Amino acid sequence: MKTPPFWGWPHISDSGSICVNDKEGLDYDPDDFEGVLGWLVCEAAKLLHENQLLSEDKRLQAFSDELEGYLKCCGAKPVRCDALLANSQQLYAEVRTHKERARYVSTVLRVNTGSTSTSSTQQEKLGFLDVSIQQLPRLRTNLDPEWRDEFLSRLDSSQYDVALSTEYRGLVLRTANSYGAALVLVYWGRKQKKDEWQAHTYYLQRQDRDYVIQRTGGSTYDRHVVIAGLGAIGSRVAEHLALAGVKKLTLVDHDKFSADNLGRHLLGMDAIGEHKITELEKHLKNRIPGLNISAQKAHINKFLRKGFPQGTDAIVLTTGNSPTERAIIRRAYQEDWPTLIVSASVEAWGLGGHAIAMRPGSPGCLECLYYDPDFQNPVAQMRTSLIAPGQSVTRQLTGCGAFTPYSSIDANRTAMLAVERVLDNLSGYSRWAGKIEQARQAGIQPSATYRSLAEARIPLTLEPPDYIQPECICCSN
Amino acid sequence: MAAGSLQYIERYSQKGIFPMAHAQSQFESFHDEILLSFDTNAKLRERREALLKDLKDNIDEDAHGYSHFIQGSYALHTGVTPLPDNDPDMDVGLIFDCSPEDYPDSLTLKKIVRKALERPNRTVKIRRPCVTVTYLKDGKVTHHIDLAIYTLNADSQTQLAKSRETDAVEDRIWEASEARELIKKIADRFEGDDRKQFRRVVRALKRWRDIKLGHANAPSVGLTVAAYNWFSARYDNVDGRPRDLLAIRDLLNELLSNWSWSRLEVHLPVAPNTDLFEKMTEAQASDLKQRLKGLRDSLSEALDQPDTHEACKVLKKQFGNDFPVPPKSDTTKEVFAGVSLTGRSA
Ligand SMILES: [Zn+2]
Repeated sequence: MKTPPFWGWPHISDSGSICVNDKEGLDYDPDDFEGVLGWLVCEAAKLLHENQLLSEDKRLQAFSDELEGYLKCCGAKPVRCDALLANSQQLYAEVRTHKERARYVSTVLRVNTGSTSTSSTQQEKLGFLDVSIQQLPRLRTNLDPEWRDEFLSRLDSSQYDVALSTEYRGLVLRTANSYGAALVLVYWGRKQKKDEWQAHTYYLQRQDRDYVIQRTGGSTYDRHVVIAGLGAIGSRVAEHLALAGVKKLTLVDHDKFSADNLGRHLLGMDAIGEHKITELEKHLKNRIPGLNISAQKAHINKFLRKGFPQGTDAIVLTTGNSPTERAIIRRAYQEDWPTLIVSASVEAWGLGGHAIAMRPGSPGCLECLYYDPDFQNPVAQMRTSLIAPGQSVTRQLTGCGAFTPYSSIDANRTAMLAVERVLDNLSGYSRWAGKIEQARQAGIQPSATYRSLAEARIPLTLEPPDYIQPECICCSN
Repeated sequence: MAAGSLQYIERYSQKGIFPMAHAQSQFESFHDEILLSFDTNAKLRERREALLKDLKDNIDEDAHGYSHFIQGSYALHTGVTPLPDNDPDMDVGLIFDCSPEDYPDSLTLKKIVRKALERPNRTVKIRRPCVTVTYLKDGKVTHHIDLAIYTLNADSQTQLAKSRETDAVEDRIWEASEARELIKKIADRFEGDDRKQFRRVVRALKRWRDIKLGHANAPSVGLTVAAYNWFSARYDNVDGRPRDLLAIRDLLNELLSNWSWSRLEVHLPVAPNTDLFEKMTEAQASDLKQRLKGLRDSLSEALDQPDTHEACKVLKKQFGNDFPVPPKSDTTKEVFAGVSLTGRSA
């Protein structure tokens, strides 16, 4: 039986199928056919009844929320779109053409705002129109002159001009809905005679940063974070900040990635022998479309030679080198850098890790932890270190090049503490304490701090007043 | 106080930050100084061995067999070195393999012990709770050892011989007294770092008592049991190191707030559940309270010192000359902190 094509009815496809629920979030006894069937029929009837009660405008509005799904159902192809679309920008279609039975067939692979990312494609200009759902005649995968006439007749004059412009090979139609907007591409390609006009409908698969982050339930952070040291912790900090929606990242490191790093770094085999930052830049750009990322192949000291990197909201120090980080922090306090600084490090054998955030001008800094609070004397070891003083924890496997044993999970937990500090944008000190077994096997004595943390006698998180040292050479001006 | 200290107190008190002296390393040195442990004190061990050998060699052949155990502060790990002119005493328990019914008059067994130990260089005296052996050198007392005499009743509960020669026969009794259970209870009350701090705190308080209280009516075991009841371990929130000063101050606040009517009641947590301060007169109880308050206030005063040197001067007045006072910290001096192996990485 041939059913009339449906258009404008929420949860009903062009062929008349009724969708009573998304497949996510349903659970039932897989053998209970009758029960499930009965439920389906009831739900479908309920849905039809509800649709029936809606005014036409309300119904169309509800339908517009599902426009992309509708198009998917009737066989429209997806087109990648990782740029944020705006009226002011010229849009292009990345079109690949191939011969099919003596005819040239063009397929749109991607919509961009100027730069291509697919091979053997050509750029073709597209127009951009905001239209209401009421202005859209019923969409199908293939559109004909009749559709075009109907569509043009519903446009106002300014829309009409865009739609008829000869420079365009297609139109991106944006229809506002309660999730923002549905995006549809109507592509006709080369100029055609009026009565032979043919077009294909695509739905745009958004991959832009805002959309990707929104889907995680998060919000974007309009911040610029510099990460110095892209080892096991730094690489994780970079990834989590990018995924959390931080707008701009600057990665600073001059090391190359080696096979020794594989056990706990974000990067993999294909990065061996390459600079960590170049590989991370590649990885993160691939991970989060539209991320603004700058890779600086330099030691952090060289990067900071000219002083505060203007426009920076936070600097994350994950160099694994305390003296370097302390020197940077002292300088930041001296020069009053308007930024949050987070220093994060992990301790050997799974004992735990630290992340301390500070802001030049406010007391309470990393250096404060290098004081004996009873005498206000500087001490050699951080007073909250998790191993008892005077023990060597580095190991050598190959005869040259000592390393500190800790796992990928240790690095990740520590990175999370640093990431939370950056996102909260607040000064403070967080640490975590792990299990003792590995250290015990290695003959390492934990410190009083470790024991107190492990037995939950003292808090994992501290506010600056807890640890400010009035004589601190760095923060006590 | 160094000029630098004053400056920073002023600077930071405006911001609501008050540096505090906890003098933790001084408390730990003080503890090392006053600690008297049976395990590490050869003199004490020799004396015990010599006495037990004497007893074994000379006790009436017909007497029941016995076992011994160390009781009192050494067993509780709360022993402190006596003040100068005092020699360390010792408590030893002897548990005879018999029941109270074998010696209806508990004095009989005590006399057997006395008879075995009498020698020219010492006196052996039967007191109501024990047999006291006093050692003499050139006619002067050097130290004494108290022997508590026990039998076991049908429930295997230790029964203490309470009797002396001046007592009427009906008063020469056996009384339930669980010295071994007390040792276990106190040892098990805390563990790990908490237990170490508990022992340091009790020893500091006992030394304070030796200096400040002249009478025996506030026995040191009373302080030990009071701490058993009310002590809570205290640690620094940042570095997790113990804070003995805070722990003692907070314990004193607990003791003072538990003061009932005219004095503090502290019962042994085992039989015979004696109220350990019951012998105190009203005047003594009120004196004790005043002195505990004084100690508490001094501890708070020390805590408020930003300079550890000043804090320790205050503490020394309470805990005596064994409490160390470090030199003044010189805040103008450049101090080299040194180099450490951190084992931290990223
Ligand atoms: Zn500081």
